[in-house]
Order: sequence, then structure tokens, then C-alpha cells
Amino acid sequence: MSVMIEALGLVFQPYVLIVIVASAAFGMFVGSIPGLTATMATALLVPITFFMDPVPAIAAIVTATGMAIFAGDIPGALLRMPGTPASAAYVEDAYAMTRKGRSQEALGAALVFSAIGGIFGTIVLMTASPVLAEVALKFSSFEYFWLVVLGLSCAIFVSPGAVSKGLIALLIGLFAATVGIDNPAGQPRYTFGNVELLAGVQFIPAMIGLFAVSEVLRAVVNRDTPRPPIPKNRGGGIFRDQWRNLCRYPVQVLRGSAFGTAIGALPGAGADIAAWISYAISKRFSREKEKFGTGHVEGLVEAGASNNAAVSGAWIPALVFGIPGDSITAIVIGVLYIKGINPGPTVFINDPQLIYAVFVVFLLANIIMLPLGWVAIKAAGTVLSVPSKVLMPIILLFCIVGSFAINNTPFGVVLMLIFGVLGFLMDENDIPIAPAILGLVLGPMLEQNFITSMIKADGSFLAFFERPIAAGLGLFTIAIWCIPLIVWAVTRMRRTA
Amino acid sequence: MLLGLLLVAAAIGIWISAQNFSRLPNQSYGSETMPLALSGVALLLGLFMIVRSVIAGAAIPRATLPAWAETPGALVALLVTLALIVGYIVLAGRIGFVPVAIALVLILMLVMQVRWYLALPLAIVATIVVQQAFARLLLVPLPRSGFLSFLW
Repeated sequence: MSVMIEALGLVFQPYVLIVIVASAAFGMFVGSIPGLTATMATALLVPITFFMDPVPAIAAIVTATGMAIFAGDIPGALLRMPGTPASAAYVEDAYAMTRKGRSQEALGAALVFSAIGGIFGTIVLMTASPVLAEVALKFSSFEYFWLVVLGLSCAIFVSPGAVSKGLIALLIGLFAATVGIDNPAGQPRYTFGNVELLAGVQFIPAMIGLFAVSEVLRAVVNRDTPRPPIPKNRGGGIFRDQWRNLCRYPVQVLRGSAFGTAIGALPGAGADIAAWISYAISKRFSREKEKFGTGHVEGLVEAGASNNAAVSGAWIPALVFGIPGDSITAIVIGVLYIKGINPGPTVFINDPQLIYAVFVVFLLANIIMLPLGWVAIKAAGTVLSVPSKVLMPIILLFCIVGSFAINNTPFGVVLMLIFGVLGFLMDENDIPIAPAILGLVLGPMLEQNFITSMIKADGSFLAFFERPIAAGLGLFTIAIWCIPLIVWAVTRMRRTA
Repeated sequence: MLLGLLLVAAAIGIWISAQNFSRLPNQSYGSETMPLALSGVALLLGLFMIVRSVIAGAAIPRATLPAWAETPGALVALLVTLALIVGYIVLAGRIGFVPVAIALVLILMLVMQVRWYLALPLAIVATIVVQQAFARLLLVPLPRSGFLSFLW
């Protein structure tokens, strides 16, 4: 108890609180611009944290990260341009709600349930991290392979339109992920002698192209027949609607938070898979399946909670074993080492007050997200009143600069253009875009785990079902593919009989 | 039907290209495994879509123009937009971010039928705001212009 009081004393100091508020505002600014990521916000903060004590340094990074990830939902909901692959899972519903004059409810849901998911994940981190970390480390390439296949399958089945078109989108994303030298034999694939393609297709310029540039191109060709204006915002406000949603979907919130934390705790899995799986689960068990994708808040509630719970969950292996699950936790582990804190089991013995202070910072970051998010949502709402013909050229400028900023080379803009044209063509042919993004993000993980598993198993597919967790995940994934086929066959047989 | 045929063609293309990739030493797997697997799935999906179309009695595929293509000027507007992005890629490194970005936003606003007296100040203000936010605040090394270096 005395350790906790000491930790609270470390956090509740004016300097630390000012750092938290300032980095929250910074994270909100970076995250709400298409193309700028939470990783970039973190990387930009690292040099500043050199001049800080450990607690404010970690507070700055954790707060900016959480805020940037939520802020990625703002362009997604208002302009159908998701800031992160995770928010792409529910972008269709969020944008459809905006078109119906419910943008504040959509963004409010993303905000409130992100905060709830984040707080849930932090409580798990504080109470059960050693146990969860042990389980997470039991995951081998077989389990990861099935987890990735499960995430990709969910992306296909929750996408609007035909399954075959979702699968085409996924194949496009997976094919784009094969480009580069990062493959089992280290041989350049589809680089056409281009040195910059050796590093593969960066998913941020690709995502900007597929979602944002394609939207700009669509606005250009339809300039004489613009979409009907977005109706004035209806509903009870950002927070009041959420109380109703919380009372209506308590199971979804809990399920999303729990799944998000569990998947986030797996090193390398992260918020992207968590959001897609949670959205698919939400749709599968919903009483209003037909409303998904048309502006229904239920999937947004569950996947939004899962998204941020996964971000908190990713800290479990990072703090307990010093194993970074993603680029952000990797940067923070580096900062912790610089500050003389060595993440791993001993940190709980040597510096318990510091590690508890970090936990308190996690909670504060999620709580402060609510008022600052409210301000951001109110301010962002003005975007909707700007005519499309003025907004789209400015968005294109942001897209270009955001794509350039990933590696500070014009090649990012070239990728953005190529994927912009591809996204436009996909949209014209009713091929959903979101599965392509997930394919691009998870493609390398799928390939690596598949080939590692095949080598370990000496080519035997049965080995993919020999370990209990792998078998469970594998059977569940196969069931997801087979159940619709069985239902279709039974319905057809009944009709003919 | 057309999508199915395109998928089959893509599958064959990927399969042929994958023949050039190597395996890991003493293993049956390597750089060609993933492209081969993708070509297999694409082939099966393409064939499935073709067969389904044939059963449904689909006619011989022919390319159809989308509705927007019948609007006068829409195709030109699309091509101008693509040319503006290509122009940015080619010119920004040579004459700097600010003049090229102003030209891009201004021309695109004119394409979108914004009046020039509104488009010009908007293009200048938007470019300066973006330049200050990215180059000054976020330290992104946007290409500098000689006579506008004071902005950095």
C-alpha cells in the first residue's frame, strides 16, 4: 500500500500533470491528421523525454499514444479516412452514422468505449499481468498463424458485399505484402530493381491512398453531382448517447475489452487483429446483424473498446518480460532503459513505486482522453460544414505530406498515388477496401509464421492442430469458413425438398 | 465474369513470376511459398466466379463505363488530379514544397469549380499552415524553396 501511495505522489505533481495534458493535445493533433501515426508521435517525443524524469517521460509517451490512436477515428468517422488499420474495422459504420447526422454519437462511442477498453486493459495489467504474460509466451508460430488467419477471415466476413469480393481485396493486400526483401529467403520480390521497394510497401502511404486519395478522386469525378449535404447533428450529445449505448450493450463492452486485452498481450498481434475479431464477434452474436455496415453503433462499441484494450494489453509482455509487442512499446522500453529502469520481472522488485506510477499514468491517460476528446470532436465537427469542393484539395495536400513524412522520401507519395488509383478502381467495382489494408499489415506475419511452422512440422499440416490452443484456434477458424457453406447447403436442400 | 477472368490471369502471372524465387537451403519452402499460395487461392476464386457466372447465364464480358464517365469533363478532371500528384512528385524536390503545393491546391480547387478569388487565398493559407505544422512543429524535412527559406 505504501508503494501505491509513493507512486501516486510521483504522478500527482504539477509538472507531471502539465506534461500529461500537453502530450495529450499533441497526440490528438498528430492522430487526427491522416498519415501521421501514434508511432510517429512517440518517436517525436523521445528526444524531449531525455530532459525529463522517468515518470513524466513515460507519461508523455503513453498519453500521446493513447490519444493519437483515438484521434485516428476522427477522420475515419467524418471523412471515411481511418487513421489506423484498427479503426478501418468500423469505419463504414462510423461514416454511415455521420451521413445520417449522427457523427457526434459515432465519435462519442469511439471516445468513451476506447477509454473504457483502455481502463479495463490497465486494470488487467495491474492485477494479472504476470499470469497473462506466461500464457502469451506459450504462443508459438502455430498459434500465431491461426490467429492471423482468424483475423483475416473476420475481415472478409464482416466486409459489406459479397464474400468473394472481400477475398479479392484480401488477396490484393497480401500480394502487396509480398513486395520487398523481408521474406524467408531474403530474396528481393517484385521490386523491379527499385531500392526503396526493398523495404516493402509501407502500409501508411498505402492506407492513405486506398481510403483518402480514392475519396478525393471520387469527389473530383462527381463534382457536378455532389453528395447530399450531411444533416444537422441529431442525438443527445457526445456523452449522453453513450450512457444509453453502455446500458444497451454491456456484454459487448466487456467482451470487446476482454478480447482486446488478451489479443493485445500477445507480442506482435496488437490492436489491428483485436479490432477486426471483436467487430466480427459483435456482428456474429448481434440480434441486428443486418444493420452492421449501415451506421449501427454496436460494432463500433465493441471494436472501439477492443482497440484500446489491446493497446493497454501490449504493455503486459513489455513490462513483465521486456518483450516489445509493437514499435511503440519498443520505443518505450528503450526510454525505460535510458532512465535506468530495466523492464522485466525484477522491475516489480527493484522499482515497484516507479512501475505503479506507470500504471497510474495509464489510468490518467485514459481518463483525460474524455474531456480532451470532447473538445476535439466538437472542433472537428466544423469540418463537415466545409463544402467538399474546398475540403478535398486541402485533404489531398495533407495526404501528400503525410505520405512523405513516413520515410521523408517522395517514394511515399508515389505509393500513395498508386494505391489511390487502386482504391478508386476497387470502389468502382464494389470491392471493399478494408480487408486489403489488413492483408497488407498482417501479410508478413502470416508468411513468417506459416513457413516457420511448416519447417518445424517437416511439412505436416497435422502439426497445426497438435497443440491445444492452436487446435482450438484452427477449428474455430475452419468453422467460420464452413458454417456459412453448411447453412447455405441446408437451406438449398430444404428448398428443393 | 470479368473479375473472375482477371483473377485467373493474375494467378497465372504470379505463378510464373514465383518460379524465379528461391527456397531456403535444404527446405521445401522459401520466398516462392507465399506467392504460390496466393496464386493458388486466386486461381480457385477466379474459376469459382467464372463458373458461377456461367451457371447464372452471364453474357460474354464487356467493359462498361461508369455513370460519371458520361458527365462532360469528369474524365479530364480525374486525369488533371492524377497529373497534379505526379507534378508534385517530380517538381517539389526541384522548386520546393510551398510553390508546388500552392499550385496543386489552387488548380484542384479550380477543377472543383471554386471561384479563383476564393481559391487563391485558400491555397496560400492552407499551404502555409501545413508547412508550418509539418516542417516547424513536426520537423518533417519538406523540400525547401530558395526564396521562401525564411518559412522554415
